[in-house]
Amino acid sequence: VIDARITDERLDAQAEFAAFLGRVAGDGAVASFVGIARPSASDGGSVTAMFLDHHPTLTQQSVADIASAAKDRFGASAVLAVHRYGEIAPGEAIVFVAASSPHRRAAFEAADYMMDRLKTEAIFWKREDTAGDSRWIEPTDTDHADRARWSDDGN
Amino acid sequence: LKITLYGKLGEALGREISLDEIAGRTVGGLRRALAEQHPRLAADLLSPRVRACVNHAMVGEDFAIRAGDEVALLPPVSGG
Repeated sequence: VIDARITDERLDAQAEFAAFLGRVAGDGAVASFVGIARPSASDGGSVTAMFLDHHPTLTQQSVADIASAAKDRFGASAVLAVHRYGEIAPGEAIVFVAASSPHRRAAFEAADYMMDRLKTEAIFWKREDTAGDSRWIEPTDTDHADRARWSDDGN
Repeated sequence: LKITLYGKLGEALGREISLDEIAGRTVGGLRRALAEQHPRLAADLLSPRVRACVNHAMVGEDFAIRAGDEVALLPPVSGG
């Protein structure tokens, strides 16, 4: 089961988790992760809002491809990836992923893998607005290094 | 010809811009024409990191654009 979605509405991580857990049948492990918009920029300034621009088809496809690859690579029974776009306020959930599998390792790794790829490859253009400034940002060196941990198969 | 722009380019120039007289123009030629019109964004419009997409497929600089093609310029993605 692969569930990959993008939305410009509020992301209710608790509801997503409850629904995902409710569909688990026969697995022994569920791992999940929620990413939250930070209130401070990398330079320490206060972030007033974040804006994620997206493409009408490519963005959804990129999230679905990543979820599908996670399921295949780790043999997860089910994977879920929900990503916000549009304007996001500090403190709001921006992304939620979950994976279920017979044993815990595959679930942890599938969730970890989805996040590392979402943070570098998902088709979004992210702008961070602070009180006096607004700038478009790209993945950090740390994001790329995290992504490279999984790169042995070219995916 | 309608050109769709995303990210920083979309914010600066609008989601959609139009350009006349495109017959026979390549993607590279289109970028140069836009860069001349918008010198402040020339570095981005001409950057190889900004990819061109025609009819939902990535194309190179020599691709010849025809009337009715859907052209998009995609800056480097940020990830989520």
